[in-house]
Amino acid sequence: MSTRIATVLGVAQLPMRTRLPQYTYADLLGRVAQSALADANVDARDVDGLILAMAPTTTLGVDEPHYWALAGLPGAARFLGRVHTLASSGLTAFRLACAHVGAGRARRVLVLAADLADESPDLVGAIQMFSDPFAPPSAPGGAASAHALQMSAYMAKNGLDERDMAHVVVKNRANGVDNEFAQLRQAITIEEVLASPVLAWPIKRLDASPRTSGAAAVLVGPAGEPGVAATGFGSFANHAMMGARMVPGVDESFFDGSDLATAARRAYRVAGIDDPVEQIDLAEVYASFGILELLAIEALGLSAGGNAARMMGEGHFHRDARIPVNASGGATCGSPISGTGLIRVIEATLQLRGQAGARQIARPPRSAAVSAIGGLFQLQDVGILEA
Amino acid sequence: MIGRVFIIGSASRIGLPGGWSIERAVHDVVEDALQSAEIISRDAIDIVVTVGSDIIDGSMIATRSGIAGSYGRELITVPSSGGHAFGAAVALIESGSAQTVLLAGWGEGTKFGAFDGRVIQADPFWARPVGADALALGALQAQRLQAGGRLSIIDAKNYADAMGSRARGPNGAPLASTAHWLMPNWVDGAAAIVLSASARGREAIVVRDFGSSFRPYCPEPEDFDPAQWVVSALGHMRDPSALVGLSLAAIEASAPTAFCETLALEALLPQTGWDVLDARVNSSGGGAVTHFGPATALRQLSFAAEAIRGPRSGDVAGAAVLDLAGPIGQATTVILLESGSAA
Repeated sequence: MSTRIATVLGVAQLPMRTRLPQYTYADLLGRVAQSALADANVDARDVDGLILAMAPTTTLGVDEPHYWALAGLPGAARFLGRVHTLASSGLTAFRLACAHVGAGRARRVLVLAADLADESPDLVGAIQMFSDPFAPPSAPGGAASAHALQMSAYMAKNGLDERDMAHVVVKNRANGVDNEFAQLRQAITIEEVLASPVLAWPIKRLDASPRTSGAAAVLVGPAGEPGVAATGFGSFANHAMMGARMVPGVDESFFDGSDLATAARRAYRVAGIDDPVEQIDLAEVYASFGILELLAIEALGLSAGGNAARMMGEGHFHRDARIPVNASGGATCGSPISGTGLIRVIEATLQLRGQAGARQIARPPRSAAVSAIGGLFQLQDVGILEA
Repeated sequence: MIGRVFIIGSASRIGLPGGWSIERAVHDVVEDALQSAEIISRDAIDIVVTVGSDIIDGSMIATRSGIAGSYGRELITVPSSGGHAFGAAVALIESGSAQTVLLAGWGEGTKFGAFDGRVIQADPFWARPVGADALALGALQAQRLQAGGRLSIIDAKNYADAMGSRARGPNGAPLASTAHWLMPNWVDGAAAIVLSASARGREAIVVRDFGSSFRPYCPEPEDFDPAQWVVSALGHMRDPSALVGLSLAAIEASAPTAFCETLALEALLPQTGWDVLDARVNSSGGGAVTHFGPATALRQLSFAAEAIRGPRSGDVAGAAVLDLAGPIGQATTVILLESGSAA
């Protein structure tokens, strides 16, 4: 029997889109906050903490958006901080909210995340500004080229071809058709993936998550309250000079997902999970490229190393499988950077509540693993939720 | 039962360019803090919490200084303020997520301060058309409180000069020769604090309580007073009366301007009977004249812990740290520490 750290009282997200011209950043936060409180049936005056996940800020063009975007929101008078761990920010912020509640420092903490990716005409260019141009970059190239190295090494090591690898995004895009919040809701075929333009071989455009605007909110309360429980967290940082680690044989953790596996082991230990294949009923994992989902499945111990792609081709990890992975369509179908980790928590919560609508998995789940990765495999976060 | 949290090590340094490397400074203060905590194994750190604004190399310094992924193997960045990062570190320990946390912050004020990155903290389509950049907001704050008879510009200038002299110290620490009363005096700085669930048999400092309050970029017209923000933060502590009965031996404050800082101190000084220029107030020189962004207050926290560290004759000595981060100090955190028999 695992120990409940805190409870998910309410969740909300807005439909993800490339552009959301009808909203300002503050609008997004306000609307999603209101919806999360309505979902929890909690009055705004009963929220005594607020955490904002926002990173990187360069896409928004405002350095510290909390000074103008939080006014009047529930818990804003007791703002507990902005969290910045790149695409892991949402999950890290959720973990911190659980820590504040678990420590008795606050009773109800609202976690908010939003992104307006269209504020910048060049999202990739904006993210590149994140690095100091006058110092040696910590990684060569951008995300696509880095994960292309990862994907090609994985294919070579496990005897896989591009067709084997395409099963991930085809599965996710099919799942996304039933997700009313997904940005991409059209199913695709393996042939379409293979025929899409190469970004950095072997990664193709349809292997990658889209540029996304969106917002998400989770209200966290004490362990004793009814709702989905957070029962374990684990993290791992292997941040130092990624460029030097992107050579097979030098440091395999970039290629085999073993850093994420370390985070998973930590989370499992806290949650009392020693056999994830038997004890985990679903997973929502952050994967901005298909290769990341395969590595996450293996890191979470849901398949043996190198087997995830073949198993997926056989139907494992699909929505009707024993352990569905990204039944929502995952980041393949929409991934606002700051909120994508929080959306994993929301989707897992909806599944555990049995409220996921058309994307609800068939077998009533009791437990879920969620994961997120910050940077280029530099920060790893795993959380365990239980019904 | 939630246990206590102890500060078992700390270090800080400030400087101006010239033989100064922020990466080296961060690395050195972390090593110094670990040494003062008598921690010789990196494995003894469970989580690293960092603070440094995005514009002031918030993330990349963690990599380039070698602390990210080297200590603790878990990294959480809370860039909004030193107080927020401190709160995260304490909550992670209190909730059982960590036994020992390394809290590190930094800022390259001399590199970015001239451009004052605070001007992009507001929505350009909302506040800036009326000229509400950080300097204008500070002037508005000063005007309102000066008109209310709270403080004169002369007082603020005197305070800034005194704090500047104190921060420069007898050896002439590298600071600008004249401290401004309505602008941050940008420096490069770094600080590191080691917090633990265990005093490890040392003369540790106990975290008695902390609380945060927050105001938006442009507060309500009647709500510009930093002293009131400090009172709000005290009211948000786990024990809102935590200050009562605490015998303060030191107060440290950090705000973006000397004007804001001295007004914030007014919230606590009446109970001590000290003047704002008392030697027990801001032995560090305060944060306004040694400002390196949101992490600045970690230096004040380091000084406060040092001020009450050491053997005492059975009494409990307390220290208070006021962190007012943001363009005019809107992100306010109050931290109360105690030592002596309590540890």
